[in-house]
Amino acid sequence: MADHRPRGGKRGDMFAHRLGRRALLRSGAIGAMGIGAATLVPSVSAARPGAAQENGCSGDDVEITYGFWNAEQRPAIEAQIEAFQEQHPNISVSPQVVPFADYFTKLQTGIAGGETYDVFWMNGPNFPVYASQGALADLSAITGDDGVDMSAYPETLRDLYSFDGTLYGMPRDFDTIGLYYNKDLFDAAGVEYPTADWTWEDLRAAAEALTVKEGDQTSQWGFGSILSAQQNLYNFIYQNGGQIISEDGSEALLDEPEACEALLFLTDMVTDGLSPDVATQQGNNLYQTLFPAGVVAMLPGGSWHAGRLHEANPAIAVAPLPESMQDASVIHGLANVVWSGSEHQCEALEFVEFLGSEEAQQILAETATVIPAMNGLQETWKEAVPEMDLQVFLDAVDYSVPYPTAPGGAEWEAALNDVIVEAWSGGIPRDEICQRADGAVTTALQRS
Amino acid sequence: MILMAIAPVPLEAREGRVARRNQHARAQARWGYLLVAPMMLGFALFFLLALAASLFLSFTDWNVLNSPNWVGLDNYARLFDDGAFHAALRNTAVLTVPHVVLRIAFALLLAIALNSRIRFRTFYRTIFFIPVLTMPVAIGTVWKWLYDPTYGPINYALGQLGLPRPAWLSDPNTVLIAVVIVLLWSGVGYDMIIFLAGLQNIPRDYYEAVQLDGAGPWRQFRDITLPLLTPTTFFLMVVAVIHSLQVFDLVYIMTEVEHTTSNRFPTMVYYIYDEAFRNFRMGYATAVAWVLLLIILVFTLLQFWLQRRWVHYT
Repeated sequence: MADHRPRGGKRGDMFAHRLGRRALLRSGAIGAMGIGAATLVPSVSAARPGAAQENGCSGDDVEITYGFWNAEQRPAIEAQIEAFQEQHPNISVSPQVVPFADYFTKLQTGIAGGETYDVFWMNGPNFPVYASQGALADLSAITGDDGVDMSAYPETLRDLYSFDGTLYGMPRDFDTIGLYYNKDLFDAAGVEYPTADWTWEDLRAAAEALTVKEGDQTSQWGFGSILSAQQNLYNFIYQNGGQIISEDGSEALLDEPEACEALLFLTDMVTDGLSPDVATQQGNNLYQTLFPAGVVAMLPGGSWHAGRLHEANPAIAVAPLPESMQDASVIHGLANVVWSGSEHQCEALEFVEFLGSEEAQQILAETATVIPAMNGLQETWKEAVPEMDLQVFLDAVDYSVPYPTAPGGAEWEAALNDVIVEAWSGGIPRDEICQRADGAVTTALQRS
Repeated sequence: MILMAIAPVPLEAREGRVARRNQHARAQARWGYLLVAPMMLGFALFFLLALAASLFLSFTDWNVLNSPNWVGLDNYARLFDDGAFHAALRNTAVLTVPHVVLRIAFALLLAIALNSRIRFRTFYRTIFFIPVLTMPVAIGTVWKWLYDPTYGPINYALGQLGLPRPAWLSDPNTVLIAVVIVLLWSGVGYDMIIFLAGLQNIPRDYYEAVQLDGAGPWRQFRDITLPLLTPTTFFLMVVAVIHSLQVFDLVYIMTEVEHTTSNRFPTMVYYIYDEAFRNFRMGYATAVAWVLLLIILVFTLLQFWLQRRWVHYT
């Protein structure tokens, strides 16, 4: 466990000049600041005294495992593995999909039991938990002069996967949020399509015009106030100049007027009947069922839905999210990490080095699987679904805000969801919602 | 053997024989222990050891990855002001009473109906037993769809009849009913089979005897069937209470809200899962598990104590 650098040699902290994690959160807290792919700091390539022994792995035939949670991305991942094995015929990579709901349960118990994937996906909210436990291998051996040039990756994502100044995650992809809408339903109601200038008032007016009731039953909802905070609530809070949690992750800031206003704006959408309620969302994934089926007219959502939504219903288009005080879109991205307890850590690092290469990133782009994290490949992704204005998601990078994370993990987010679910079910008086949400999140933050 | 036992035998010889017989018994016992040893070893390793380990862990702050630190009674003290635990406890309690009572009642009615000589008896018995053999996850998934407030067939039918269409699995007023219905649907078949066995154990002569005395069907049921079924009923009640206190899979599948880890009807075991495997507070979760064990123990002992008042063994 002590040595995470199998290739030997001591290395200076190559990210010493980079903004730390807290600074990143602070910038996110101030609001949309133009962080992301557009603003890069030049990489500081430190000298690598031990780098001479490139390919210092044994060369024996080994098998490593690669854990991830999205089965829809399997074809692209298999293509990446194939390309890797052409270069490293002695290393075979076995892909292992686990559904997201069980992914982190399985991962954590696997690590505790001393048996888990050699290489696996990591997300922002869970990263600090694993990095702080020493479960992840330091990637400095595969970055820099003769490894992956990290300056090709957005600073936001490098920061997201650094802990105490050390990089533990190789950025894989990123995603921003846009407003998907169904053109057919807009045409039928004679409502103009959403534009980049839309405000919250425009959104509300359109949602009212697009909601259709038959007696006491709603047959069409104008807006889908999705219970995924990343794709809905957080964006609205940031747009209104609010924050979700404090920069040190010690307390919630949901009772502040800016955040509260956003929370209530979305609450009203649900309680006024303009959006599917909790009961309807409970058993229906809006992205998979009600929205492509044409019963919901507008739905905020992540860029990773684009390809599938277009396939399911060609009338679906995308626009930037409407804004209140400022543009804002939550940016998040996954990373590939190496388990520090892996028996084949050297080979696992080789694989992650490959996954960080342009060749591997290109595969993600061409298959329209996800927006590849590497700068310059985003255009390729965009061209994969030319019928949709995917530029919306790339533009959003300029005003993107990082996904909020706290050192103790994602438990506070579950606490927030509990309150939102209760509030949107009508179980909390409107004037107590913000206070309750704030209290629940602060309690969770201080407990973990 | 019998002859030897009654034949007059000199005392010394008898003593020798007793000694030999003891020796024989000891050898047999040795073999017995040897033969059950593998099973007992497995029991000790996977049950007793795990039980002891979980008791120890309930006094620690173990989070799966770090080594456990002793925190004394902190975990147990915390239970007193943990709102989520209280909610889970409350849900489990309100589920137990209707579930146990209705399950026993329906199972008994079914068993009596299917014990009479009706056509397709075996077919019906099979139909009612099939849910018992079905995976709970499959049951939960199908029922979740049946209950869908907007697109489910149950609410469609209610709508056609002009009745209100509840948000079954989401509305706090209906979620209990919805969960109990599925528990009954999936559990009644098992109890029915046990009741059937109980019914068939009642000697026919009893019925013939009271029939001669002019007892009608109701008297026969009240004075013969019910009392003689009390041992079966007692067993099924103990099992049903334990089942109720351990409900997990159905609420995990049916009442969790998409995109979140919020649950509209968290039970005790669901809460243990949530704390242990989502929040990785293994120490706290084992404390909750021990409290659940104590609750089960208390209720089971209570039932054993109460059985003296109503259970008749023939």
